[in-house]
Amino acid sequence: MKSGDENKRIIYTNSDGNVVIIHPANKSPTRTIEQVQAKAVPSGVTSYIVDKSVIPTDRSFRNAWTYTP
Amino acid sequence: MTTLNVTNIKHASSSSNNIVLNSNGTITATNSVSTESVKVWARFDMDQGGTAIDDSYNVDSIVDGATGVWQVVFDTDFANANYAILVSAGGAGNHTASFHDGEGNASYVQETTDCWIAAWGYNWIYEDHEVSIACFGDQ
Repeated sequence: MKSGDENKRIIYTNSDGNVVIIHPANKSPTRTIEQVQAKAVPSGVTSYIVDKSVIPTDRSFRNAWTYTP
Repeated sequence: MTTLNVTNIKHASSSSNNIVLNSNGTITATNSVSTESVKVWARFDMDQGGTAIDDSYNVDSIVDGATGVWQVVFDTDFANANYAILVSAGGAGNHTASFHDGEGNASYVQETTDCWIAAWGYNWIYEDHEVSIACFGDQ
């Protein structure tokens, strides 16, 4: 990933109401988080790029997560 | 020692080069290698400590879809959606993981661009899983 983008995540809410979190994995040093976003997020869905620190580490109630930008 | 200086190797009956020796030391081989080698692999962890991608090849992103549900998005896509997927899971207790064929939820169907994994087993609700995936097929 482009330097710095490995610390970012992409969030959107799917049709089931679950918060979906995209973790970039691309090893190309020129791949940007926006390119990962364009490929992984379904067409027409609003998504947000956030710092990875926003994501909770306690997953006890993972399916109850919501996201408000 | 004798050094063979050659760039291309071609079968006598072939109309084009079968093997090209690149100046950087890599080899480009047509046909045989491309359909037999692994095209995607990844190992990742999703547990109470959060998500971690241990290592991967040809993966653009790994998506946390819900408890026990993950999507692997490829860097280079497959030519069709008939590629084979091998999935395994490990951790404390009995764990199982498999690819999702979209039955019951069409949004999880196998695509040329990505596939979905579902995991369950002992302690699965707490996602104490280490998951590995490998994909084979035409690109």
